[in-house]
Amino acid sequence: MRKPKKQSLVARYLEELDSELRNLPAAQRQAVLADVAEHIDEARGEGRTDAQIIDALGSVKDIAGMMSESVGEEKVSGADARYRLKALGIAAVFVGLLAAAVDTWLYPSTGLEEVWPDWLPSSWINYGMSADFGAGLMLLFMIPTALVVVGAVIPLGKGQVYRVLAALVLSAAIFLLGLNLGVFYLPLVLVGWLMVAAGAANRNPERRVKQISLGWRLLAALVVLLAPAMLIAGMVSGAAVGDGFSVPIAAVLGLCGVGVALNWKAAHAALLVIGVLLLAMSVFSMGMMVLAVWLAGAIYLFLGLVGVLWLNPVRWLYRKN
Amino acid sequence: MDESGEKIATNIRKGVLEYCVLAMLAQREMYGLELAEALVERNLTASEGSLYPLLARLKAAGLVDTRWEGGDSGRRRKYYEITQRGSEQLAQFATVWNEISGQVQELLEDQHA
Repeated sequence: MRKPKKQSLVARYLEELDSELRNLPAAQRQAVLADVAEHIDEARGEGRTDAQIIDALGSVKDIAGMMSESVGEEKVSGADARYRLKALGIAAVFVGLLAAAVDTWLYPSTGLEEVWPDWLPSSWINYGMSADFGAGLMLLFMIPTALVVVGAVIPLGKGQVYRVLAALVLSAAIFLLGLNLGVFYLPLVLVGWLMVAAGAANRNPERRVKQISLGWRLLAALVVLLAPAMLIAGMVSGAAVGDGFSVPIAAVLGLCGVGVALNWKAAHAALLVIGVLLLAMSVFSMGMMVLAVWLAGAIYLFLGLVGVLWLNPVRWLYRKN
Repeated sequence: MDESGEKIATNIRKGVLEYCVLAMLAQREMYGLELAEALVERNLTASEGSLYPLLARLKAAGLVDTRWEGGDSGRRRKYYEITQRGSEQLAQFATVWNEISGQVQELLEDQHA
C-alpha cells in the first residue's frame, strides 16, 4: 500500500519538522512529532494522498513557530526563571569570591579603623589579625555573597521578597563598607538585581524582553564600543602608544559592540567571557588600574549576563534531559 | 477573501483557536485528525499542522488529557479529552468572548446607523 516514493515525501517532512523543533525540550518535541506522524497515518487511512496530507498540514516552519510561541508563555517561563536564577547563582559565587579576595587583601591598607564606629563588624578585626586570620576575614567578606546566592535556591514566588531585600541590603552595604571596599561588591550587587529581574513574576516576560530589547542593545553597544573607540582615537592621535595587543583588542571589542546591537549570541557570550576575564585579571595582577579594570569587568559581565540569559538566550545551556 | 481580509482573519483565529479546540472537546473526546478536519471545515485554521503544538501546550497546561484507544482498523489512536481545568478555562473564555463580541457588534451597528 505504501509506495517508497510517497514515504520519502513524508519522511522528509518529518525530518524537517524534527530539525525545526530542535530547540524544544525533548518531551514536547517527541509529542508533536508523534502526533503529526499519527495524523499522517490516519489521513492515509482515509484515502488522502501524501501530497494532499502534507499540503494540508502546512509548512514545518509554521508548526515550529506555533510551538515556540506557546513555549514562550506561562508554563515554561517558570523553567526559564529557575534556569536564570541558577546561572546567576553561579555568577554570584564567582564575583563574590573575587570581591572577598580583593577586600581581604585591601582591608589592612584602608585605614578604616580610625573613622569606623566600634560596634560595626568591619572594625572587629584589626590589621594584625587580618594577617593572621586572613581566611577568617575572607569568610566575613563572603557573607554578602551568601546573602545573594541564597536567592538563587529559594522558591520562585515566595523567594522574591527575599531577593529584593537582599539586593537592597547589598546596595546599601556598598556605602556602609565605604567605597574603598564596597565598590568591589558592585558586580555582586548587579547580579543580585538581575536575580530580582529573573524572579519577577511576569505573565509574559518574553514579550517584555522583546519590547525593550532594541533600546537596551543599542545602549549596550554604545557602552561596549566606548573602549575600542578611545583606544583607536588614542592610537591615531598618538596620545597612546598602541602595543601589539591594542589592535586585536579594539577589533574584538568593536565586533562585540556591533554584535550586541545585532543581538548575536556569540557577542553576548563574548561579553560575558571578557567580563569574567577582566574581573579575574584585576584580582591576580593588582596594580594602579585595578579599580578601572574591575569596573569595566563588572559592566561587561552585567551586559553579557543580560544578553545570554534574556536577549538571545543560549538554549544549549537549558538542555539537560 | 482578499489579502487584508485574510490577515484580519488569521489574527483573530490565532487568539481563539485554543478555545475552539476546548469547545469541541467539551462536546466529546476526539483524536488528532478528527479535530484537525473539524477545525478546517469550520475555517478556523488554515493549516492542520498548527493544531499539534497547540494540543501539546494545552496538555502541558493541564487543560486537556490524552488516552490511547484501539481504533476501528485495529490502529491505536490518541484521544484528547477536556479536563476540569479546561472546562473552567472554557467557561471563562465564553464570558469574555460574549462581552467583547457584544461590544464589537454594537460598535459596528452604530457605524451603519
